[in-house]
Amino acid sequence: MPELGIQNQEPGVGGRYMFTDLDEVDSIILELEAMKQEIDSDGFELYAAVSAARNPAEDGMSQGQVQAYRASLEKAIQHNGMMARYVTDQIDKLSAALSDYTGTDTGAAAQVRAIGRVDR
Amino acid sequence: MRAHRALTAVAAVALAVTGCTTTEAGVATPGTVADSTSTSTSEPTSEVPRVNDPLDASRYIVDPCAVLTQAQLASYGVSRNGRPDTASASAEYSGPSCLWFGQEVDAAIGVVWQTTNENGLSDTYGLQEDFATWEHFEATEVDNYPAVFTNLDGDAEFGNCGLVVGISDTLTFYVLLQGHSKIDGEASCNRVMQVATAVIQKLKENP
Repeated sequence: MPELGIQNQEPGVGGRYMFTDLDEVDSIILELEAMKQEIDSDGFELYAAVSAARNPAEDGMSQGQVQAYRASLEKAIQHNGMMARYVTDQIDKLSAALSDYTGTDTGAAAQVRAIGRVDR
Repeated sequence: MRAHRALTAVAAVALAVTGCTTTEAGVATPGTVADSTSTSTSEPTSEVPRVNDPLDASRYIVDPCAVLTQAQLASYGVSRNGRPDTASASAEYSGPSCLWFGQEVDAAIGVVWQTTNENGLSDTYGLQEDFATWEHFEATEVDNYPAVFTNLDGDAEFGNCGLVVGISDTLTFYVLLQGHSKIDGEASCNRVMQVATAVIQKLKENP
């Protein structure tokens, strides 16, 4: 089977994944889908936690604790959003490449069959 | 837990005695939550919209994924079952929730019953007033119930949008859409509003 090459444009320029088995690509897409769900689930928990942040008392230290907690959650949410974007992009690239390859393969098979009919 | 909760309970009783600004059912109107007898500095000084026609969500706090029907979810591009969370540390801290993962439309939709908001939307306003928690804090209404968009600076970029809706003076629910950078913030917030409206409708039809 010919190799299925998928250009990895970000973050490294010129990077390239090579697959020799289409089933392998399918399984990687499934793994990434599962990963994306976990990232979404984590993001959901982080957002919900922001809404539930409470200071244990009214003194300055307690207020500062919530501010630090909130800032930390916001950073985690940004990281979570970037992770979700990265995984989504990877799934899109792999799906597009798989679809493109399958389409090309089907077209080539049809051409070969057509040639066979003409030769007969 | 915020130290002012007990004081707010006093404030809520005082408000119940003094009454709201209108008696029309289901219309959210501003009313002052902070009580003049309260000594807490954490009570929101701004006017917090009151809920005039409270809804009972106890059924869905126990079974959070039942609040949206499969037909409703299908219209949001969701065909998979939701993932309920009623027992984790997160559920204990933030409230019971359900998270649905989109399939046809690339987005995740979550609803949290914010049982820790014992003073309803007043707690959300208090959080904003005390800590400027959200960079984008915009009051709105969902089917005549008071609500507020609560979003951070980067949310629109990621296609995320959050909305807190007050359904009684002791309970809110939170809707979050995670758009994976595939939709813009405005489209995300429009979808969140649709989901929140569907939740309110469900609460009215099947309390």
